[in-house]
Amino acid sequence: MILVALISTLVLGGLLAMLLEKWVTGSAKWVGLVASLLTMSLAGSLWIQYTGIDASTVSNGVFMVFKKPWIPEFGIEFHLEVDGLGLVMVMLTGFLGLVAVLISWSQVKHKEGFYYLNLLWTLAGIMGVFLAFDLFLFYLFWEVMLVPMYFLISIWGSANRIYAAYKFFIYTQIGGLLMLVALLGLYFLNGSSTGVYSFNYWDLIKTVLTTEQSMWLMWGFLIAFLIKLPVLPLHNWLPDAHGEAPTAGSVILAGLLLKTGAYGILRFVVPFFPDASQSIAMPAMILGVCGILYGAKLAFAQTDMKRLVAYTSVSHMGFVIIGIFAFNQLAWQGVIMQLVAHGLSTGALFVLAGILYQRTGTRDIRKYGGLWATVPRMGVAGLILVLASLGLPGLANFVAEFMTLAGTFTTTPIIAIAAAIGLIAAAVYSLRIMQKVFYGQDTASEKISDLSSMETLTIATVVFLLIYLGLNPGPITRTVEPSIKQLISQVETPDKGGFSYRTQVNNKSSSNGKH
Amino acid sequence: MENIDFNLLSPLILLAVAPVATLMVIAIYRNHTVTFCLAVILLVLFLIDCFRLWSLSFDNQMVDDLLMIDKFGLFFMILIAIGGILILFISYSYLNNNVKVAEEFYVLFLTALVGAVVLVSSIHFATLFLGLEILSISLYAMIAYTREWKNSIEGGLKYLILAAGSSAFLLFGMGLIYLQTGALDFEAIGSSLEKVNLISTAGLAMMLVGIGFKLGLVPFHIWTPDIYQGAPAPVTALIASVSKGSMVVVLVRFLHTTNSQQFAWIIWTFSAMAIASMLIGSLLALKQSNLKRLLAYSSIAHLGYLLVAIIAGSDFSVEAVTYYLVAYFISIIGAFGILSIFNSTGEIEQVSDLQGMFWTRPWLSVIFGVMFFSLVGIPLTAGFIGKFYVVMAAVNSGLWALAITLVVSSAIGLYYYLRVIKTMLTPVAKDAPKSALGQLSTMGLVVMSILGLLVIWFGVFPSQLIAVIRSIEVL
Amino acid sequence: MTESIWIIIALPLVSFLILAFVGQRMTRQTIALVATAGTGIAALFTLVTGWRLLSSNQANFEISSNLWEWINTSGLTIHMALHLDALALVFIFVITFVGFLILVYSTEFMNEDSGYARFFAYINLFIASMLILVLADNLLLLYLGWEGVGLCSYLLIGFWYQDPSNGYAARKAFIMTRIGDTALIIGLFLLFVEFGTLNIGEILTAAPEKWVTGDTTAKLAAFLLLGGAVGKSAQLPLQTWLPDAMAGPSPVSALIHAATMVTAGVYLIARTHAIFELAPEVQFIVAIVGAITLLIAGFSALVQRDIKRVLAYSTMSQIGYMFLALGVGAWSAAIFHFMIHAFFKALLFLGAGAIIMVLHHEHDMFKMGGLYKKLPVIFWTFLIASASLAALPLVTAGFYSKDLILWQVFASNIGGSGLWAMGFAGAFITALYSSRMVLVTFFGKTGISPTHRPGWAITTPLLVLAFLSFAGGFIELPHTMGHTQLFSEMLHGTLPALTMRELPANGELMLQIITGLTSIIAVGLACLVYLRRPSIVNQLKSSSFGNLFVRLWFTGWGFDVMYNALIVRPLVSISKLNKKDILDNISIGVSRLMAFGNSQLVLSQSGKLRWYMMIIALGAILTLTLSIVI
Repeated sequence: MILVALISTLVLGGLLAMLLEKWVTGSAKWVGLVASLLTMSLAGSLWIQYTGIDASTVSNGVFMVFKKPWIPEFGIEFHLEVDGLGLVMVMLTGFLGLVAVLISWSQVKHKEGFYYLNLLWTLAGIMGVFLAFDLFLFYLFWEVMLVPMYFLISIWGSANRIYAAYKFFIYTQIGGLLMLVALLGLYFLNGSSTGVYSFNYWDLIKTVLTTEQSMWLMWGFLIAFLIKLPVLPLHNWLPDAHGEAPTAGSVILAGLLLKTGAYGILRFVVPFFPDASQSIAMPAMILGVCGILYGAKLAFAQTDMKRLVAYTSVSHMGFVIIGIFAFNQLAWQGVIMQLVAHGLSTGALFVLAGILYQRTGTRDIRKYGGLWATVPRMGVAGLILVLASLGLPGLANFVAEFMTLAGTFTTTPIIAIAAAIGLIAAAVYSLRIMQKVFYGQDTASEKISDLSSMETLTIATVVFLLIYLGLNPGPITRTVEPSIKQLISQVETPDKGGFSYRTQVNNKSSSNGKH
Repeated sequence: MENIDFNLLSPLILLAVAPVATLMVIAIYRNHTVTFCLAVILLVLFLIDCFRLWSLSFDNQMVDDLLMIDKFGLFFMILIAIGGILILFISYSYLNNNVKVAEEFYVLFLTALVGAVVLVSSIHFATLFLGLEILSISLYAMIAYTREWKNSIEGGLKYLILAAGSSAFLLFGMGLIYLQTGALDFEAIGSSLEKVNLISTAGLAMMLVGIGFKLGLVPFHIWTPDIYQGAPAPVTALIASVSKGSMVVVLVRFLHTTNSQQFAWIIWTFSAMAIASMLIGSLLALKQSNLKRLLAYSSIAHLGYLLVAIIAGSDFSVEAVTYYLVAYFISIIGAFGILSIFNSTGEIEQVSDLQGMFWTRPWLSVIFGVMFFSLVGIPLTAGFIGKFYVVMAAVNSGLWALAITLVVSSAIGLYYYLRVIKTMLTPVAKDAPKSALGQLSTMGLVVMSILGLLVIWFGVFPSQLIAVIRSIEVL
Repeated sequence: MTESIWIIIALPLVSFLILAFVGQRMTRQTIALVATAGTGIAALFTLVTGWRLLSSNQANFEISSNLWEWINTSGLTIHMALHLDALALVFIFVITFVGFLILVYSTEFMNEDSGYARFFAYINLFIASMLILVLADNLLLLYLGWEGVGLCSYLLIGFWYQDPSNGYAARKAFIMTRIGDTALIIGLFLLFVEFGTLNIGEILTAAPEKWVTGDTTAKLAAFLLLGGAVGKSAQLPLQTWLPDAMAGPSPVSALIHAATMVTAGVYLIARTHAIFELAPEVQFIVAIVGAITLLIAGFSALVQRDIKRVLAYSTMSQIGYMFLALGVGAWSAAIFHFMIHAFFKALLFLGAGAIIMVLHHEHDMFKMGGLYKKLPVIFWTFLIASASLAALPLVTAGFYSKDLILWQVFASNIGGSGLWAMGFAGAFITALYSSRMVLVTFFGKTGISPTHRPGWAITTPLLVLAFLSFAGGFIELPHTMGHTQLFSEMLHGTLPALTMRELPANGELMLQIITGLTSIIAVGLACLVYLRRPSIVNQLKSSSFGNLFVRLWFTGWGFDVMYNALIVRPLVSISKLNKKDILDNISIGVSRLMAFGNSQLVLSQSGKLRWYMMIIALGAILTLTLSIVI
């Protein structure tokens, strides 16, 4: 029930915000705050519940299930599950959702009701993506989160918002539809061989595919996720969308939306098509390296603060791709760590960029300079976030990158070495932010105000988490360990007949001998 | 004839009586409201009768090789009736505002529905052609009904000439097939068609031209924008939904009964038409600034999607077509409805007319947005389940190329649908002149709300509708 | 008490946290107190711990302290664990003790600066990071400290951030060291894959079992570690950041860019000596790198005008000596030189800083002149330190440490006369430029006059360091004179002894006499050409050949120019080339294509009936053709 509540709180909160704003002006933000706080605390209680459970007693990490028939004609269920991996993502969603609401507090001044509706619904969609274990439901959430995000960008974004919103929507929609096609292909192949037509994750995972089939179907899924991630050369929606979105939108885009891509690959592509995905590992990793370097290069060249940060995301997500396709437990741990760390650090960096934009009215970093003297708190925040972005040890991003690359090194050293060059590049572009924004002489005629106490609190919490997880990533790594082990076992033993643990989750017989 | 036939034919008879009755009432007492109420009541009666038949458990019954009364047909009769009622509601205020003499519209309208109902139960060339012509001829007049408008007259005339031409093709095709098989009913044709023959092939091809024209498939789509634009919005809604829908039904029936899908060339031709329709339709709409033309182009693409499901030819195929049609009916009637429910002379035509509507009329805009999202196929709307069904049918039959084309077309389509939504969201500049939208009719708003809720309902809980559709068998 | 060595790190860290959070609201006195107290107590703690350990008479003492589990997943287990042995003890002694002196000095030196609290926060963070680096029991924690000191170096070089050039210098330093760091982290990956652990002790034990001498993987690992070391220690080819790093305040130069951080590379190589011993070729490269760096940096130091740049090049050169020593297996000699160098070089920087402070921030030595009477304390202490740098025989600590290195280079089975000759030439140059520095600054014609004499907070650290620069050498005296080996005995358990080759019996004394005389000759020569007969220098400079060299040396052998031309400028221009992201053209192209399709297709919608009819007819023909063809 708590799983449904996670989603429905946000959905209902959004509706309430919209309606209440009509009656009481200024109430929407409070509704938003309450809803996101509630979601956060629900996620927190889930976390507490999870830590109370002996990991060995739950099958492959799934510790809570919610199932209701929905469209039985197609074997579609309203089927939510949460395991360690999902839990981490849910926590991240809850937290960044709260950050997004708080940061909108003083920045969004018009049409607040509709704004919070969209904000909360986007979060609900993302939450659903991380919880859905019915592939139809997953696709539904996947698509649904786009619409409110589209509104967020196209109404509250900056100058070029319309173009950015189109691009964002169309790019992701193409991927989504391809995924739908592949998804249905899988559904029918599974149905025709077993006689059970179902969108259940645990049913579909057992589908027996020929090499060719799995290759084609994998591409359908993969393209959708790679667009979201994004991988070179499918990344072009990202700088525009991140750049033009309102601050909260950028936070959600960078912090959560990109993560759904990585999550999707880990959750679906890898276990569904273990052989096919391994067969494209090398090209994928090369693309990842290209993404790291290309993103870094473009980040260095940007003069628009938000576009700059956006391109750093392209670069950082390159590590994620490499890590995933290294097919190594350590690397995958690193990937998940990276998802969390990047979500926090880049999210906060966008918060900062948004605040700067709000105060100065420009995003051109050439027009900043010497801000350290006027806004020291912002300077410190900027410094730490920039350091996180360049992977300074002691911050969560370093742990993530280290685990990813160390894991990758064990399988494909050459890729890890090439990716490590990205660490130098990260230093180059990250320090450029410091140099242009905070160093030098303050030339602006008007002094801007430093972080307000709420902004300070928001960023300080992020910074605290980054440092805490940088020095003790155990809470994350331990939580996802069962999921990761289960995923890696899919890859290491492609013999699909031998999975007994599934029967515990899946009531339907899984004993029909395959292979 | 036996009694049972009257029982089965009662809806048809009822509907056929309806225009006559309406005409008589007009002759006695000419009043718009009265006529409107009468038409609605008659349609409701028809609907009730259809439901009555539906609830009877009966075997599918043929009436003299001419008509087939089965659940498949009944389902679409019900759909046509509901669609008809909704369009009538939209029409009422529209006619009040735009024409001086509105009463005969209802006569034509009901006549058109008779044609459509005959079409959906047709299993014979004679009824096919008869239904088609009843439908078309009523439409000619209805398109030109707002005769003060130049576009309207032009549209009516164009439709008349072009449709006549296409009917000629259809008729000639039927003739050729008759020449070859000596039969006019689908089943007999089907059994004799097994031998491939130049004449019957040519006959089928000729028929395809006629059907393609009615459905507005590329390359026979060329009429759609002008007619859609010229016709009064409620009539456009009728063309887009009932007229095209009933043609789809008869096509499905024909293909299914004659088993024409055994011919590779039919599949190839249909596939080519579908691909061309999906792509060209979307591309044509890309920069269109006239809403009605935009919807016309989008309907080309939508019929392309439907054709994909028809080509699939599996069990899913008919289900998919049916569901898609339901979703499409609701969405397109809703979309055209919004264009016509304002209490002002003329109608919303340009996309730019909608600018800022979201902030001035949020509820209506939300409905409009829902309709458009349904047309795009965004989840939680009926259109999504429809599209899902179509992709399902395509994938199930391994029609990968068509499925991918559908994806591409949808992506292009997204652009122009979003453009409309974006326009609604763009606030009007403060010093701009006030929007000429005028007042809203309450009835229109209620109808729109119902449609909006239906779209959401069928999108979120499609299960019941699917169950109903599954219970249908095509014969 | 000994198990809680974490306190040594925690103390400066606490100072840092206090200053970072509430520093803005504190008075200068409180800030000074908080800033110095942490490191001061840590220094005391270190002294006590060291005393207890040394007096315990264990041959090979070690303390380990496990704080918490840092990473433990999927086969990677890394603890937040500390490890203290003799090698680390030397380093933490220098870090805390010299660090404390520099902090005391800074309380006065930075007094006028608005970023008072910020400065001390950074310094304390630096000290904490440096301590982590040294005390880490695994390479990843070492890397944390390694990057931490790099960060503090970045922050402190760019401390006066209002001047963008300082920011650029800071960025240069960070990025150049990052290049080395990246090699190091790849090395870590390699070691992790090879050994399944990053614990230094375990790796050092396992390495000789896993690899035979000359193993390719061992070479690779050693080479990558060396990459990290040359970056941090400003050795060839990553040396160019150090002179620019002088943009930071002088205490920073003293602490970070002379005494501690730049010697982290030396520490790293000494720490992982077992790997280098398994890769003799790479170890020889270490020696070569050191030898070349010490020479080219020496030449550069000879022609600088900025007093701090002289010292920067000198630092580079002296670290070159340490690398040379490491490269020939003279492990403890390298560490000994590190310690002595920390004393006298910190003193030199502090003295130079004091001079600069009282001369209105003048850096040019040639504008100083004749200061020996006006600033007596600074003069005498600076003189002692310079003498130590020049390695004047017998009375200076620098003589003993450098002499040890030169002798061991000569005597080592790896080294030999070639490397010795380079070191010897370097020693000559060192004596020459240090004399030049003293002579130009304190003698000659009077330049700018100082505003005031520095107070006790500045002079006391100078005096203490001067004492150490003079007396520090007596704990390790060569066989030939006194034969005290306190220092190398202490390190004996941690670092292996030098492997010697067969040598004539009295070789050591001969060499000592030669080197001692050489430095005296060099000082004499300097007096001659810089004080008595400046015309000689001017003549040399004005000759076209000399001019060329002077310019070349002045710019640090043109490395900056070369890197700019070969790497920086191409990269910058590439980044400008594609600012708009050429791949964006994919989506732009697609949308253009769609628009083009639209524009062509709408032409067909002409509205003309005959045209429509024709299209339908064409369609019919097409359909018929299809039906017949297929």
